[in-house]
Amino acid sequence: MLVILKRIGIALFTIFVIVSLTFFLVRKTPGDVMQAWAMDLVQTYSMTYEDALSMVQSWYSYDPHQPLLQQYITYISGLLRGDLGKSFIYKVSVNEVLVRALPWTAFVVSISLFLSFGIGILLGMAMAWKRKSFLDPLVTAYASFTGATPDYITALILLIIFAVNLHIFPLKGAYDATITPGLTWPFIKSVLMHAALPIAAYTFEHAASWALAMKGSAVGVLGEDYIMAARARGLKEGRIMIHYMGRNAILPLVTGLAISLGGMVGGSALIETIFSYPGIGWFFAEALTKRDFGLMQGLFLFLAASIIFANLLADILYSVLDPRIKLEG
Amino acid sequence: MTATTFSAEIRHFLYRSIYEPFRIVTRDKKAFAGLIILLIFLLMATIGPEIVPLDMRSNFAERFKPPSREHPLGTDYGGRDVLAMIVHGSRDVLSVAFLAALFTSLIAVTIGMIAGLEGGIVDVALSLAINAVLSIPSFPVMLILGSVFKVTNALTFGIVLSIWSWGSLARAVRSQVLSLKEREFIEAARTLGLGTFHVVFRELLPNVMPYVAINFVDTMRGAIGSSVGLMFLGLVPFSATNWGMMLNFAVRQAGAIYLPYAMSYVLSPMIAIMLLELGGVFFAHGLDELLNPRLRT
Amino acid sequence: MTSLLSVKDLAVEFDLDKGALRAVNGASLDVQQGEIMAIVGESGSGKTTLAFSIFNLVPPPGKIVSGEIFFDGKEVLSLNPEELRKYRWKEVAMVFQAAQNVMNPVARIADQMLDTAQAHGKTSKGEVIEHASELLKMVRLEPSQVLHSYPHELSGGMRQRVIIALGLLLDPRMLILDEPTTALDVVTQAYILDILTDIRDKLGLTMILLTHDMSIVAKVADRVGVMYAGRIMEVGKVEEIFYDARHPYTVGLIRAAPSLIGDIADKKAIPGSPPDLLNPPAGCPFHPRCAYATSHCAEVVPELKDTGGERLVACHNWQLISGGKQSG
Repeated sequence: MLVILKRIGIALFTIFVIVSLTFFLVRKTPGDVMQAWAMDLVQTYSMTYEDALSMVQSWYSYDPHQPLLQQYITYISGLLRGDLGKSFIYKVSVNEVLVRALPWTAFVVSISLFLSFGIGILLGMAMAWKRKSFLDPLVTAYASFTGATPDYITALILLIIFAVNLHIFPLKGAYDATITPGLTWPFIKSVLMHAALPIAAYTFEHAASWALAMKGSAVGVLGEDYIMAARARGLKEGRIMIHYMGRNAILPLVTGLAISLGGMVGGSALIETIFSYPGIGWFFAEALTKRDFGLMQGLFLFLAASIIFANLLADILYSVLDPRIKLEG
Repeated sequence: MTATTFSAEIRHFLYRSIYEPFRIVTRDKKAFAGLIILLIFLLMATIGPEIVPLDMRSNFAERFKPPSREHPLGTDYGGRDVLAMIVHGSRDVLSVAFLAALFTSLIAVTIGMIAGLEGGIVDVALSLAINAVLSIPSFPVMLILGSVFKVTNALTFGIVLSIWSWGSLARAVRSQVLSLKEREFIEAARTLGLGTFHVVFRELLPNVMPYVAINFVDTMRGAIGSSVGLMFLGLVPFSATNWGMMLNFAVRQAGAIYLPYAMSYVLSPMIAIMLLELGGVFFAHGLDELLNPRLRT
Repeated sequence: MTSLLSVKDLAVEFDLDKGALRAVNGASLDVQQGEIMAIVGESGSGKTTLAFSIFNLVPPPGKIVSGEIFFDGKEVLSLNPEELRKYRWKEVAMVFQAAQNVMNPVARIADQMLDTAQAHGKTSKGEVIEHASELLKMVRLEPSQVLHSYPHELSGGMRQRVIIALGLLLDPRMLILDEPTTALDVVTQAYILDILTDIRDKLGLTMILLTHDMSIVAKVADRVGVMYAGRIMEVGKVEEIFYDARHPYTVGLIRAAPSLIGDIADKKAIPGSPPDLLNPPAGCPFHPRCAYATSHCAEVVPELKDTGGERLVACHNWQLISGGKQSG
């Protein structure tokens, strides 16, 4: 119990570090960017320059008249109330953007994680169980290849082949804009078709490395005495493969899930941009290119916090799954 | 310590950390293949630009041409030769990656060493920092940094890329230092009155270098991927021939992916990146397999 | 009377990089129903490989290259996989060393019992748990405490007893015990031995006891087989072996065994070192260390022969050794 609390403490501390870092980074925002925004407002809304500038500064929670510490406290207390800031280009709160974008990213990422992990461990088990099959060199070569290729290149290749040239999958969006959202088959089909390529990109990229990891772990497990003893007890091969080899081999991989999630979320900015898929990554990239620091900061905080908690969950999950582990500091 | 002893230290250190690993790598086939690929790119980066002229003038009559004898990799949206751009771009790509890996290694080794050697509250603080850097995904951080700071050349780009990448190496260095600290030869060196300098350079660093060497290639690979990603999003527009920028123009601005005959323009930077990364993977793989530091000393 | 177990000329080879290692090299053995047969030998003598062969479970890179094993008339090595699976544990079961990691680390003891029973067609969970509880009580463990535990939560001695109970789960005809008391402290050792004699008395089970500890042999076994370099060198009743050993190696073993009485100075280690199983010596494998060896021994491998009264010996010069003075 004490150890879990310690872990949570470290997680919170890390988030605090991010919060502070982003706060100071934004302070560092080139003044000319703010001026540019102010000019833009002056032209669009015919405000006075001073009014426009102070409005922009308030978006940044940046009141130059207040001492730095005061600003920091304002910002933190805002955060604690769930106020992640405002987006400049969309003129809505970051939370609203999140509500719209998060479901798509969550949808794609969770399916991708599930698929790549599932396919990976099944392949890995098969590779370990039957040592001399054709699977081994094939999967290993495939893994080297995809491991070397950055995920966005895989995504681009898929886009070019399947969307542009073969016209199987659509080029952008989360669903066909002409269909109204609802629990109808046309809508669901459209969603799936639009999500197919991003999911495929993630899965192609990661499945092979899961397979190799599982294979390594499973091969290690197969050398253990309890596998031999299980055979001596006359247990059926299927049972041994799943309950004795599988259950034990999976354990070390569980923490990898959080890392994989982190990687997927981290790369979502690029992948979603390539597929024009309106998830958190896409909005984040938009915020970056359009210098929307409010949205950038808010989304980043959300991303980082989720990944940190995902790591924490994976640690806890691991300790639950493996009865030998009493969480060590 | 006199000046001459110091240079002897440095020479010894360089031998153990660069020459030796190099020799070991050439024995493994996969690593060797990787090394060859890397060397080709290195050649491309160093003398390529001298051999292949780059003409950045636009020639709209020639735009989006498929591969031909005159333009082996076709032309881009402005009619410029793609092959020349790839060759010139390799210099940018490799120098940025190299600088990123260099800074990463410097930061990581420094932090890891201090944490390992000092121990106590310093170690606790630094370990928390390492933990923070490791748990927060680096790519989004780099994206933000790239957006906030003005990156105008390879040096600043390298620094930006290294700010969040030193975590895993620092951790490895720290544990290696911690385990070495317990060993007798450190005790012996201390007892003999040999200074911390000697301990650090002669005893600790050579044992730490294998990790750094393996990590260096991996970091370079990661830096290539990240730098191209950053440029693809248009965040770091300082060099037009850099492969990332080429991809940016090709895909996002010129819409070349929709034009089948412009395929070579789109595919060239992609394939260049893939080959370079593959070379790096093979090389690092061989290094890792053969140079298992746990079997040393 | 036909033996329950009959091993004929078994040879098991391990295909290593350095060459072929003969772990078992022409071993023959008969075990009768209801008896406790101890097989003694140093580490590397091939006892464990022999035991695994009875299950046809020699781990790769090992392979049974020749010989036959008859259990209750059936030739085990030619069973098909399904028959083999049913035969294992139901007819013959094994008690492994507790030090080995022989139970699934992520499954509770109760589940391991259930696994075993269900693999052999017993589907009633309640009955299996009841039977398992009785067995656990027989090995002097508290079922309510043990059944819910994971293997790593039990002490070495408790694990050993669980493994014994697990072995008895399907009422096998024969039980093979591999060094059941090694790596346990002396008090626990005595405890386990007590339990084993209990089992023998109550269940009338045939047992093969693999050990290098002569004192256990004296306490528990009916007959003894002496194994060296993958061959059986001598077989006979326990008292006969102890007081009238007919093979030089047996003599050496008995002399070298420590006991609570007698001067330690009387103890003599067997000179020389264990044989190189990659390149075994020609002729009798023991001859390099044998005080009675002749040139004939260095050339011709001695057969395991009946030397009267069902005493089997594989030595050219056994008459020289028999009747000689021993110290127990």
